[in-house]
Amino acid sequence: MAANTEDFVIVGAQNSEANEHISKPALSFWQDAWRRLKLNKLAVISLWFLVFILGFALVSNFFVTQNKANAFDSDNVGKYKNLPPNSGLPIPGWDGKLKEPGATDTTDPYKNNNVKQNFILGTDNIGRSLGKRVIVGLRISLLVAISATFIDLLIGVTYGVFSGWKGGWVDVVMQRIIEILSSVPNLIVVTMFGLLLGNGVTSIIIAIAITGWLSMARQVRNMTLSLKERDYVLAAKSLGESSTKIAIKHLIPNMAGTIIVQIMMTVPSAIMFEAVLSAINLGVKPPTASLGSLISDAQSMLQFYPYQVLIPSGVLVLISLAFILLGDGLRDAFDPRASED
Amino acid sequence: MVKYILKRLALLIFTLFLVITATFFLMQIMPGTPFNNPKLTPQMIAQLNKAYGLDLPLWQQYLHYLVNAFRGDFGTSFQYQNQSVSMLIGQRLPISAQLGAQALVVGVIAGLLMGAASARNKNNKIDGLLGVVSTLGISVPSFILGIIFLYLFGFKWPLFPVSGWGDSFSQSVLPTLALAVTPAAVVTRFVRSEMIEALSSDYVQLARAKGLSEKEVVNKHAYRNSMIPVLTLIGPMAAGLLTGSTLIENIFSIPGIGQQFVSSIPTKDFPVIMGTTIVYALMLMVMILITDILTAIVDPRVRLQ
Repeated sequence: MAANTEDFVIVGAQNSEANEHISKPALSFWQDAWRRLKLNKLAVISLWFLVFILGFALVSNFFVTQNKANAFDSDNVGKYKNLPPNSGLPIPGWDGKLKEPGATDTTDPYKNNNVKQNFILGTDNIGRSLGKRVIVGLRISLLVAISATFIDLLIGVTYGVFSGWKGGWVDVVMQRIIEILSSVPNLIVVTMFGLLLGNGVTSIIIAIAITGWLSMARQVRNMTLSLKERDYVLAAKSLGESSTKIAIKHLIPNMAGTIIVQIMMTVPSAIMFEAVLSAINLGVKPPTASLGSLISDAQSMLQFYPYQVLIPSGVLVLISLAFILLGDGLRDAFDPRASED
Repeated sequence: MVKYILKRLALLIFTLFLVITATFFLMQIMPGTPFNNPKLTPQMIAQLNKAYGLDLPLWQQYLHYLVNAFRGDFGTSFQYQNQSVSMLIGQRLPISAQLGAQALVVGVIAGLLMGAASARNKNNKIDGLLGVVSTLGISVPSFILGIIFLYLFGFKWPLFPVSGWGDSFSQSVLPTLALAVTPAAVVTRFVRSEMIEALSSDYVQLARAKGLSEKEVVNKHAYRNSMIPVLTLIGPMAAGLLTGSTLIENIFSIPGIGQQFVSSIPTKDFPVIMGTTIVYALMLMVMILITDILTAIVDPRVRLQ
């Protein structure tokens, strides 16, 4: 079976330089992840939403101060209290009209009380603007979120890398400690420290710090165990790099994806624990508003003024939803093999 | 296997000991005293301290507490006169346990069904819808769901009673649903990814190649194998339920231990707080232990060490 070579033309093998030509620029790990993340519309929307919220919270410091949100007109409580959200436009449910339970017709408290101002998100039971209080609460939630992230990075990553790198009995003891800590329900630990340290943002952050880093430490330790067997670590070791330097230069950058995804999971639970603490009266000190305290304060009036509960709840849910969606997107972007398609 | 269980039990008892010790000393450094009624004279406070054993040296109090705690005696409540903490907890525990169990059962069953439906309809509208529902489910905390359910189905359309427990089954519907959503969402996401993996695995290919109907392939081969790993989720989910139920009990005025715990915080009823903490920790540890043992029994591939 002699092949009829004339019928076939060998293509592209003559020019060896052309074979080596790379038509597209090589993508770094981060560029590649970003390219994949951009394909996930929900994750991108969440990312911009979170950037916007963060920027908004920062800028809001200049025009909505803590005092402004807490101040109320003690002579006119009756006039301003429990005003429903009013956009100033005839949008049903957002036009400043309220239907009292049991009543058939809607009433217009703004007109009846002769209030000129429009409260976009309404007012609370002593006439404070709910919009301002939600903004202050948002700031506190984001502060808790940022602190939780730092603690996760600081304690969780260090603990995990150390435990995995050292190995042996050090690892066993450190893992036992994690096991013991995680067998106590978070709520209990958070409550205990809330009780011990009194009300306030600092005590919330400390309470969350004590419980929040456990799963990060576990994940990082598992990653360290597998990464430390890699050749580049061996190379660094034989070149005489110190362990700290190997951890910072080689190990942590290589598990950045895992770490970021884990943070996306820690943050919503930290925000939720702030709300939980506030709901059991261990949150921020009373005149200060946090999303959780707004929800729990207004809960008793749910039947009559549902917007006072639903607005802060909605904000809380939107933030944690954005973090979860972005986290999902990032997980797929960093590890395309894990996602099915 | 027996060795494994014994080892785990020993660790459990050791952890319990640490939890008791930690709560005891935390309570000691807690600011405030339960006897802060201004009407009490110093003599009366001294008498009260004596009656509750608070005048003994710290180490004696600790040993006393430790020994009694392992016997299931957590002292007497400061808040309710002559009520032992174990009795208070004992009365309320079944209520919380029932609520938690109902929520877990509803959540897991709903999650199994939704996860399977989602995987079978991969990348079409049903899958998309279930994906949205389950993502919402994990991002909305159960207490907010509780409040929303309370408003919608309690006040706006009064379908179910808004508070109480034990008078009728309908009272438990809203709190159970509010608690069940998170487990349902977690299980849905988990089963979906497990089942998609199973559907592309070799044994499913073989089952298809044998000429089994799609229904048999899915139900007999893929689904059964994706259900096993769900067991591993029950432990962590129980922890979430504990947190959730505390607030849900408060919202729906259910006389469970969660409500007890929350109400004893402002009154600084230390024995109740300590007792509840220990019971919570014990419950969680037992759940995790049972989960691990069940996983090992059901799936022999899980190596016991």
